[in-house]
Amino acid sequence: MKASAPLSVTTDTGGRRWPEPPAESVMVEIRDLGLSYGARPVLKGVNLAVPRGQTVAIIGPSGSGKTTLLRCVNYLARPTEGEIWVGGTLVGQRETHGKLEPAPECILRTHRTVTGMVFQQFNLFRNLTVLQNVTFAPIHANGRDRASAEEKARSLIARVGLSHKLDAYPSQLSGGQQQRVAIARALAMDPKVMLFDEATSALDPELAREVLVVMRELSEEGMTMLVVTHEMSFARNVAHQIVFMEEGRILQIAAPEELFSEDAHPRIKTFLAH
Amino acid sequence: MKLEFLLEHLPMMMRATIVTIQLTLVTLVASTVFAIPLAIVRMREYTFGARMVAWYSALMRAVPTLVLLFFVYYGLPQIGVVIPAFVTALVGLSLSAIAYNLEIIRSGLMAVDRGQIEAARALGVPGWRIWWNIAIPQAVPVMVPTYLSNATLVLKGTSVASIITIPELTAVANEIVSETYRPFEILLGATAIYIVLGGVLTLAAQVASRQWQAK
Ligand SMILES: Nc1ncnc2c1ncn2[C@@H]1O[C@H](COP(=O)(O)OP(=O)(O)O)[C@@H](O)[C@H]1O
Ligand SMILES: [Mg+2]
Repeated sequence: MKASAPLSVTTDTGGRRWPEPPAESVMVEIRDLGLSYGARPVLKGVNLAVPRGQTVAIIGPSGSGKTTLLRCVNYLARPTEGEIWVGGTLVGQRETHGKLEPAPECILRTHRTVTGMVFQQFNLFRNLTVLQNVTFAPIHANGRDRASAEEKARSLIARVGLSHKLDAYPSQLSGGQQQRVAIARALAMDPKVMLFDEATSALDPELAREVLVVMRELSEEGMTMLVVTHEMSFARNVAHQIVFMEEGRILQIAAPEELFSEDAHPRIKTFLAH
Repeated sequence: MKLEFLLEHLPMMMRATIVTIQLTLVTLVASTVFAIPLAIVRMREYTFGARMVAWYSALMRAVPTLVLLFFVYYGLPQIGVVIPAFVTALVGLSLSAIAYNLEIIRSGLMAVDRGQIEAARALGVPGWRIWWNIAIPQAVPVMVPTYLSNATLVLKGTSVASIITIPELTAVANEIVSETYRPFEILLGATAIYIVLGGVLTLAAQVASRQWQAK
């Protein structure tokens, strides 16, 4: 499969141009995505469709725009061109009087509640305990009551193996434990998609492994995931598709067995040889 | 040196001390209340509001408090605003205290890790919630030591209000001196009171920074 993902389809009804939602089977669709910082283009027309329940690994040299791409999916970064669809919703835009316009912050927030994000530096709230970290967004972004938020948080924290650390502060945890809490925190919002940005890059191999185990389980349970990673074994063994990015473009999208074979793009072969 | 002069006038000086404490506390509270939103505005660089606040802050820190106080004392009645002397002092002292406090608060807020703010935004948490529950609780420990040392300056700065007839410690001490001609004893007493009050603030700063460093 080459990097020629679907182009944006627009229908013309009554003089209105309206983007066509992606197929029901597609959870995330990125169309003609472009982003420039000032005059400097960072993403130059990215197209990618992630079917429901699939894990897509995104690899590529540093500075190629992987982080920016993930940040566009939840509109932490506003694209300058193109569309992002998550679960059938056009992210970051809204319709008023038959026209699309940038969504205000309050609507962006509801769009963001359906994507979970996990960062390289964990970014746990350092003034809150593990339990409070996980209940914070359900209570304050989704308006859940504390009791049910805590019940759910406890089971998620148990799932990442940290029930004995409920009342610990982030500074009392190892990096691997912090990252597992960060995953539980994202899952607490019942996201449709999980975005991982080099979630294990700040961890030494042993701690990275405990995080990768959790990520693998999530993937196997059918979570839709976009995973920026340097862990080639994870990309190879867990991902359904691998995206190779370079200079703001997708150079190739392929199944792992193809990308790690002789048929891969020569540039990718040299990248993987390192 | 005859300490009985001091003892004799001690009750008067204590009443004046209370005025000094009141003026200090009210100035601190008022200037902090104004400084918080201004610090937030000032943080959004490149906006008109931020530039205005930056100018305000630079100006107010450059002009002596005494001059500011005169501006309020003589200036406001000229434009038809007549306010009690205590309020005049409060406004004059607050003008510069706001400037200092907003810089202190801003640097505290700037120290908050961007990553956590981004994580909260990614979760869809409203901006004010992020400020209130994440940014501020982490910024406060950073700024408390500087804030309290600035509070000591505010305390000392209240002596400037003596010039506009506020019966605070310096004014009253001065008055007693001119009645008794015992400057040494009386000023020694006033100095001791300032040292005690300042010491309380310094102590609070130390306790606070030790408290938060521990975590
Ligand atoms: N906020 C920003 N302002 C300006 N340039 C940025 C910003 N964020 C990222 N960039 C630039 O965009 C390019 C892509 O960055 P990034 O998406 O972080 O790449 P990757 O994650 O693949 O290493 C880099 O050259 C980076 O310097
Ligand atoms: Mg990156």
